[in-house]
Amino acid sequence: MVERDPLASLPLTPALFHVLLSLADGQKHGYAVLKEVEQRTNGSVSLSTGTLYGIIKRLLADGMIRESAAGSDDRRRAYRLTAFGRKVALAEAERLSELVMSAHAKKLLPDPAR
Amino acid sequence: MPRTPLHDRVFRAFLRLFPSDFRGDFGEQMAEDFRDQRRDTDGRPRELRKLWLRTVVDLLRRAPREHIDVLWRDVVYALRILRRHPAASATAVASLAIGIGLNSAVYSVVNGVLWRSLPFANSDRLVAIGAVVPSVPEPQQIPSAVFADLQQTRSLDAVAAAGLDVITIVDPGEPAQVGCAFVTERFFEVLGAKPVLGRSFTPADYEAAAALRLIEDGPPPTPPAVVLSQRLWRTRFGSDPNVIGNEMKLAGGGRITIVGVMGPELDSIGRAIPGQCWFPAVPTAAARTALIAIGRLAPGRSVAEANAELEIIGGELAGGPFAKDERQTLRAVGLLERTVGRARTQLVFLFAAVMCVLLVTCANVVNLFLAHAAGRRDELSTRVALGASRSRLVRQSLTESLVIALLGGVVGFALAIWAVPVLVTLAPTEIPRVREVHVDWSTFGFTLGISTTVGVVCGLLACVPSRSTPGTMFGALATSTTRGSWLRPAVIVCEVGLALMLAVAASLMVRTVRALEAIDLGFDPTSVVSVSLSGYGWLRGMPDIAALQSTIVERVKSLPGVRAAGIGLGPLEGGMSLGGLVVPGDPRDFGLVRVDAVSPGYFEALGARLLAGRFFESRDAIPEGRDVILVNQTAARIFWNGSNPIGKTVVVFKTHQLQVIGVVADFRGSTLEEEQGPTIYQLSNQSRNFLAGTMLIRVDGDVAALVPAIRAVIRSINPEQPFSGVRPLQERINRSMAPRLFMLRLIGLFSMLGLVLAIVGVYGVLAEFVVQRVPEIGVRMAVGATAADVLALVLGHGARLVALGVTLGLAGAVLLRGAMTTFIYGVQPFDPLAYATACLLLLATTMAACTVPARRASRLDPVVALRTE
Repeated sequence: MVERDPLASLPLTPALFHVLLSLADGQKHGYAVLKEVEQRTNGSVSLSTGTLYGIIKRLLADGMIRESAAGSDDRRRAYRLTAFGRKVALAEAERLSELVMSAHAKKLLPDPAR
Repeated sequence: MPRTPLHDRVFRAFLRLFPSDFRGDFGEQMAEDFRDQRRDTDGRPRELRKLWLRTVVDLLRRAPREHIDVLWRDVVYALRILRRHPAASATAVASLAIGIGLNSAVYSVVNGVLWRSLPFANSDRLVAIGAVVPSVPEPQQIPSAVFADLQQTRSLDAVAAAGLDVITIVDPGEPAQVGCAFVTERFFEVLGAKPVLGRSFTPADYEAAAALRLIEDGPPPTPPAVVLSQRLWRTRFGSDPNVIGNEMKLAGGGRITIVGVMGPELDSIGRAIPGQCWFPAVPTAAARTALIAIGRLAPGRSVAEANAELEIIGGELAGGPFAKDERQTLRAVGLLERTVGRARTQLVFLFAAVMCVLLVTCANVVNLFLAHAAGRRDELSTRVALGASRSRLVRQSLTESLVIALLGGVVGFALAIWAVPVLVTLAPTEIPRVREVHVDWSTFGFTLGISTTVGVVCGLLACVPSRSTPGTMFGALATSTTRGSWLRPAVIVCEVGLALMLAVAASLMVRTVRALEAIDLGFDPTSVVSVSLSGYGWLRGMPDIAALQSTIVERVKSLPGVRAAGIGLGPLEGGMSLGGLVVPGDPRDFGLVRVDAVSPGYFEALGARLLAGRFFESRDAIPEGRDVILVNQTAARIFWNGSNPIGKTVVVFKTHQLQVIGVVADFRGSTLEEEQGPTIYQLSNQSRNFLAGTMLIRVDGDVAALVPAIRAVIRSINPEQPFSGVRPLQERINRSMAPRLFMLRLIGLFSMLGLVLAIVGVYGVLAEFVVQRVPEIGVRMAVGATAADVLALVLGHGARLVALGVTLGLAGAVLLRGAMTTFIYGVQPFDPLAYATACLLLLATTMAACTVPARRASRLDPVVALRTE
């Protein structure tokens, strides 16, 4: 199979990136993703089920996540990042980081060193 | 099992907004997650409300996106399927394009003529008020004496009227006759029309007009001001923006100041209120002029209320001195309805016919879909096995057929854009507003609407065949044993039936046109041209018009190449009529009798057939001669019961005696279809009450060479005489035929398409029948059936289908025969010959199509056939 270029998937929508981030440290089921995103962002990003599963559907179709065999009960399915999904998340994080650096260089943001 | 809490049930209900696939994949998890979220709120009402609000907004936003997602996938899939079946797809798209395109084109015309509102504000409140008598369907103009009474009606906000006339403009440009209208105060106000240049009439204009006593008997004096129509301004004044204040010069020396130019909207009611320019006029009670009245309904009042009031006023009219008929009354109809007039029936019929074509097309497309079922049986079985639900496959089928129908719609719309101008050119000028017809957004909306409807209907029909294993567009599982195997034959039967109805209509139209062509005109139109000699110029300062006319005729007769010339009304034109004609010794009242005032040479020019006596001669034409007349055959039959009328007399205007010197064959009335009725022909210089103004010339050879000479003769006698060239007499006949020919061409085209589609459909179904029966045919042949037996088996199947279709079509045609009565002439709506022709045509062609698969079946090798089992 041809290696897919993670950069082709960029940029990600904020909501989609948050879902990838929340799976970065291990598999979770949908509800856990909702909670984790909400806590991590102090409630400023709060996904709803409709949006979440729309994103999950897309991530599954694009091969960025897959259903986890372990840790699922009858009704709940847990999801984990695939290798490709991890690369995409990393690439997006780097892209954002570069943007922030530019903002520092332009003195739009205060110098992080100070 | 514990009851699911209300919250969760409501959430699940919201999930139904999502496509079934999505629901199947994630519905359970979403419900679980929502339940957890809800538990997190610990039942605090505020938190719970916030959660609900957020969730519902999110679901409502997401669900349509998921549907679009599915749709997009289905469309991509459908396009891939289409590419895999290029021939079938192209056939389906092409036939739908023709069906939809024709419908859109005809819709454009129907909408533009019948439905599009008139270009005035609140135009649905505008009415035309006319005088009606039970015997005449069209409303007549009202006597001007009644006009004042109309002002009192409470259901009408404002009433105005127009008296029609003709003027001759001699400057700017060549002398030409132009229709005009003398309009009362508030005429433009009632319509809500404002001038695009200058002004409309002011009270001062009307004061000046009243002083002139316009709308009176006799030649009108020069009006004080004129407002031009957009058309006249464009054609005659070259759209000159500085035209206001200029003068328009009329024949006879009248000069009228141009005060305004109206917008194009007034041209579109030309059928109801003709006129290319308007003069101010004040109707007087004494005037005997007829007027066209218009009004604007008061707010909240209906046409029916207006008519109730008008009936009372009309009652007085009936007893009054201006009544033409005791049962005469006044009636208001919508101005749009009045403008459209009789075109409605014709257009609605055409629309129905073209809808039939679309139905036949749909039938064929459904058939095509079903026919391709077998080819995709495996693919669909696989999809079902993989868990695709029935609703999923129905959705796919709908998408596929919608894609086909919309592609057909796009091509059809392009076809309509091309076809509408063609239709407009073909359409007879009798259809009002037809020249304004164009493809617009409503055509687009209509095309989109029918394409979608066709797509949905065809898609759903393609799903019918089997309930257990659903089909898609090219994939309905029509195996030989499916429950839906009745569908294709049923569709074909309907298709044949519709095609037959169209063929019957076409056949009746052919018979009608034949009947019109076969009409005995009573004259010979070949090599006869007509020249109009009428006009305002003749009435002003020309004391002896008859003498001038005969001078012109004598001069034209002496031109080389002219065999005969004379003046009269000419056939196939509206006529003049006369009441109170008495045949001495006969107590009968003959009602209205047609009158024509002709000059010697008229009948010779026309090529009329003399049945008895003689034509007029120059010696009759001297004013001191005896007052002599010719009568037509019908007059001779009615007045004197068929006995020889030569030498008999009739009395007109109580004392005026006229002696019959000849009998001519009947011509036609104002149209080809109309009988002429009893007619008397007076000599123009002996007729004090009638004046005709058409010169007919029978020529030898080239007419074009004669035109300058005729113009020179006319101009030398009256320099201000309008001369718009010569017209072949045949043109009047053609004009009279035009509406029927238009119908015939369109119905003919529709029925041709219906026939071709029916042939294709029958062929397809029978070919499929043969394919399915190959093993059976093999067995039959193996046990001794001959090729002829097989041929009979297949043909028999085809014949049953066609016969059923024809029977259905015949029943339909007989039921709907009333719809044709308005358009046919000289043939009964249930004309056996027309019906038989249509049936034979359809039977012959479709059965011919059946022979192809039948012969193929009869040539089957039984061994090969059995092996396919």
